[in-house]
Amino acid sequence: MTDRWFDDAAGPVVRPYAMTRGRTRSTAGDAERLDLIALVIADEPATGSRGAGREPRPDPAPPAPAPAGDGRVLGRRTVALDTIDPMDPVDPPPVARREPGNAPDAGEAADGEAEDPLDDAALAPEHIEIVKLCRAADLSVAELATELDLPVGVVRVLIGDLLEAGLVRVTRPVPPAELPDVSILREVINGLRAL
Amino acid sequence: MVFGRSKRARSAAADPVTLKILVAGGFGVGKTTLVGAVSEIRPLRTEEALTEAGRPVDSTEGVETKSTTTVAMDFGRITIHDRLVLYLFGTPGQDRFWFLWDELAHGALGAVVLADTRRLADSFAAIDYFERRGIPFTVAVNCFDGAQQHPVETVREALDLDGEVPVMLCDARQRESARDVLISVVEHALHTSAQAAATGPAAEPAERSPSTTG
Ligand SMILES: Nc1nc2c(ncn2[C@@H]2O[C@H](COP(=O)(O)OP(=O)(O)OP(=O)(O)O)[C@@H](O)[C@H]2O)c(=O)[nH]1
Ligand SMILES: [Mg+2]
Repeated sequence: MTDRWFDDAAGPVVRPYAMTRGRTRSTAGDAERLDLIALVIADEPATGSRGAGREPRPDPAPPAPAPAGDGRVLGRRTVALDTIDPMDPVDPPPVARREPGNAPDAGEAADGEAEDPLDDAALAPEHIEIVKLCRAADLSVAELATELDLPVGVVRVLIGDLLEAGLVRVTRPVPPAELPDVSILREVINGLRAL
Repeated sequence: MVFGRSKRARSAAADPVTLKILVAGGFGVGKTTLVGAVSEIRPLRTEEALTEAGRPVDSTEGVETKSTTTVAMDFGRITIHDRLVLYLFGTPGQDRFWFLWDELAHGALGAVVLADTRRLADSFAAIDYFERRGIPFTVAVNCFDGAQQHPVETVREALDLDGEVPVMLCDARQRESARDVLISVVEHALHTSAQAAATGPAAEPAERSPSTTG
């Protein structure tokens, strides 16, 4: 990351601000704030007819090149420059909506490897990281903020983008007063006793 | 991967239930220690951005003025089983950040108020807060070495606690002790909800309309 994103006046606010293009609210349809303990769930990408997508086994194919090289630079820079630096020539495309079969390189997926929707230059590295983390294990908003070392507010916006793009879904934690049955609390007590 | 949990395909109906318990109390009373003692993950820290405008201007003794606009809260996790996860949130110790609790407290199952008998008054703010919000809480007296041991009933009186509020001694560094405090919170929450069910929905705390009551 280049130093010019930071200066004494703007400080560490610049990076989160840039990443969210100045948004403080998620653009996702429901305006409700994502709860800190809402779980972000990203199911494994469809893997054609192989049917082995759940196991994290080593893939014989070379790893998808997408997010590493250009994607990384493009993701953060374009998003950042769009807001901060009018000199930037690149226009950040909005996060693409996931539409199976609409991928530009659909023909290349003919070898049985389905296109991973993450191979999308419109996604910032942080978007991709969130999806990858959540594919490995469901993570709460709070855990994601820690993993990415970003303020919760920023992570909320990023998750909102991913919701819009159909790449993740989130759980809506039920306040204890509205729990359908108190046996859940008994389960908690028993679980704690067993610790 | 990150936390070693396995991932399986399931429907939204089978999504895990997440619950949270807050750990509050005065500055340096042992909140982070307690969260770390029971959490299956190292206590994680997350930062919430604050706007300068929203930051109270009082100065707190011993807390140096910082130019950053974030405040950390720490949290831990206890996986009860693969469909039920309990999160712990240690609230920021400095009272001037109390307004962050609204988000933390929303939907909380219950709370721990950690108290130090040498500085009981430090826990007043947390107790007031949870009482007003109708959030069930247990007062846990953290027994620091060298601190005089006070009988639980003395503490209850000094804190002017409702008779139903559990008060117990604990050592926040001990896993079993911290676990017992959490069990007390959930049992209290269970009891409270059973009572609420018996008295009818009118007894529900005014959590959703905090502005209408003082
Ligand atoms: N002897 C003893 N020391 C403790 C106990 N609990 C915490 N400590 C120590 O007290 C100090 C403060 O504990 P923390 O857990 O950081 O307290 P905190 O409430 O998180 O502090 P803030 O977040 O700054 O408000 C640490 O040095 C702990 O090791 C205890 O039960 N006994
Ligand atoms: Mg602490």
